[in-house]
Amino acid sequence: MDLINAIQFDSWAEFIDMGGYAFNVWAVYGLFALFIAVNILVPLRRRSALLRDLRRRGRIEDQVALNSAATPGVQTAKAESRGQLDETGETASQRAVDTRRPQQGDNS
Amino acid sequence: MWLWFAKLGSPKWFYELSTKWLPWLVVATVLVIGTATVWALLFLPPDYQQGYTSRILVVHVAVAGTSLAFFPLMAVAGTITLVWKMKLADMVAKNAAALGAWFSFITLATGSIWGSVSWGTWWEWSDSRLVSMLFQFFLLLGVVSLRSALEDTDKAAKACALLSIVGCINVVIIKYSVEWWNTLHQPASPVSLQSGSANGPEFWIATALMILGVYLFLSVSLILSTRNEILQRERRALWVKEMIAAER
Repeated sequence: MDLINAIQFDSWAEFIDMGGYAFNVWAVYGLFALFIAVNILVPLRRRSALLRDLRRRGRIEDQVALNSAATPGVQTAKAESRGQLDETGETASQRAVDTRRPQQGDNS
Repeated sequence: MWLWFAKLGSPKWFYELSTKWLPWLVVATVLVIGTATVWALLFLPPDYQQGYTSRILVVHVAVAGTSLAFFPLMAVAGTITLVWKMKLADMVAKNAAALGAWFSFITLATGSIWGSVSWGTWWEWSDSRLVSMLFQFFLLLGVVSLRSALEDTDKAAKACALLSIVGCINVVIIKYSVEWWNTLHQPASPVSLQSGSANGPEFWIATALMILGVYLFLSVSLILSTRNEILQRERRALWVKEMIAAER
């Protein structure tokens, strides 16, 4: 077959050797693969962290809305006392404040 | 036209459209980069001077050429940010800076690995192409750190937009450095239709395919990080909350 004949190497060893420049050629192609993998996987990992955080935030907001309907102020204080930073860099108290004022933000 | 423009600037619109297009873009990227890589590693005949190290150039030329697109891209996005205050443009610009730094670094590294054989040196401070590309790498790191140094999102966006527009001057310097100063780095070999010549069809078609593949990869990576930026900045928007609620 033409395509098989067009392959420049007769054996695996010859292919790996790259005419004596194995280190240079494979280092470049390895670096290239790493470069692509990193710049796809890092955003994907960040996405799953963001989604996890947004889901948790949604659950807390639902609960706050539910509780404050029964006993106003209690859940807000609880959230405030927690005060830890999350993925989006806000404290729990800021989050509780957000609940009461959902913004319309889908236009620029 | 203006309605289209306003829609394009809407993070929600971009998010939904990219959800639809992303799988196809990924498939195209894998196919094109895969084909170009197999072609380069298996079928490309050895160069009469460089031997098989010419295969390095398929990757190097593609990444280097594409790295020049970042400052113009950021300048266009920056202008849109400055003039129309479009949120989406700044989100793209922010993520482009970091990705561009990666592209510049890979350009320098692959060039070095090739040069160590063909030029007998890994680095040459007196070469204008090498130094101007290194400058682009630092300039992009500068844009990234400028943004993280300024806490006010609006101020950071404006400052980065200005730096991106000014940074385009360096792209012109990189592009013409091999002609203005004739030092170590060679100008691009003219494209030839003659099989077996320095830049014959075997070589340039493989390289052109790789350039297309690298651009596709650039768009996939940039879209992924821009979508993250949208989720983060628009987390209080109703459509994000509804989308997350629908997933639960």
